[in-house]
Amino acid sequence: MTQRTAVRAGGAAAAALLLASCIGTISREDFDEEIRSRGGGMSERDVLDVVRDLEARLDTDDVRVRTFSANPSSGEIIVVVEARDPAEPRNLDRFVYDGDDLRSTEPVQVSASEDLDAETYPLAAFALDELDEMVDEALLAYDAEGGYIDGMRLAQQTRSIDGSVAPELVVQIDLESPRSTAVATFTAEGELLGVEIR
Amino acid sequence: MTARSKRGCAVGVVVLLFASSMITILLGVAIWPGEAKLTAPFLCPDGQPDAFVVTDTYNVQPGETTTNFTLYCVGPDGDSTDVGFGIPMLLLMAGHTVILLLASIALSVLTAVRVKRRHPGLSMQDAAQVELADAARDAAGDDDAPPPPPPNNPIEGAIPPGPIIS
Repeated sequence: MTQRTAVRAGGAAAAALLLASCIGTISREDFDEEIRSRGGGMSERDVLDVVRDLEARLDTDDVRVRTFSANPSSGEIIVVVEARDPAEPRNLDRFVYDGDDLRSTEPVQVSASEDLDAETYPLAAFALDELDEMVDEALLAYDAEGGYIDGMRLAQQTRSIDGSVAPELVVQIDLESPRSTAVATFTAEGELLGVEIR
Repeated sequence: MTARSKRGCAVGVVVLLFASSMITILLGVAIWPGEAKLTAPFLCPDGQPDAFVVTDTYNVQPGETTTNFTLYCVGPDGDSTDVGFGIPMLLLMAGHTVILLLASIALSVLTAVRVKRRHPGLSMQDAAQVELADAARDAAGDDDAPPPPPPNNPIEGAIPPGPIIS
């Protein structure tokens, strides 16, 4: 091996060591930033997968829930659902999904004074197959530089119409940007009711 | 196929798989983990065409650091799928095996053609031995030494010694 060849080989080895395990990769922080720059990563497909899995597990098309929230987290969507057991309506269970995978299931304590009939609502009432459109509309209405989706939840809120108070099912989408946070509220059918900057 | 050539094939396959696995580990983990992005067209779902290899570094205990790689497919809205790193590595190993196989076949063909041109009268095996001897002599820098005779002279080998008739 000539001296020049040895020097070249040494240079190549040094470069390989310097660049070791970093060529073509990004750090977790940069990846999260990339996801946020694209809108946050809230995916209708992932949410619908969870709904389908719940329907299969509970063996019913009419899943009733007390809470349903989804939060994108570094490439995965964490979905937390409190759903009623159709076989035993007094029982409420908490399901936690990590993407498509069910991470945990645990029972929820329900006090005697709680009225689950009033507190739970059917998942089928929500137009979750319109979630991607809702997300786009929420980001458009928020109109903040660097805005992204921080999470979404289904809720039952009371609404006053002509002096009478009536429960209303809504989809709430949490928005965030470097300078503010906001909540976009949609009807269960996917119609935008408003964006509240906080 | 004789038993010897079967054994040779088996050894060749083992050597090929070992070489490709070593290349995959060295290249795909130690030097260029981003190579896993080449497998995105096979592994990413529709609508998530952009591939990222994400590094997670943990300090397991003082003085010990662990780095994990994960391939993600990302869509235009930031929706993503975690593909992992094992399946991309297996695909890369398959690709490296094919490349090595094609390279070794090409090298064998080129060597055979060259040997045949230089030693048209010899069998392939004998010519290869002559080539090896030449290469060894060149490597030793012994240019003045006379070339060794071929191991089997084809002319001598073709005419078996007969009885001497006086």
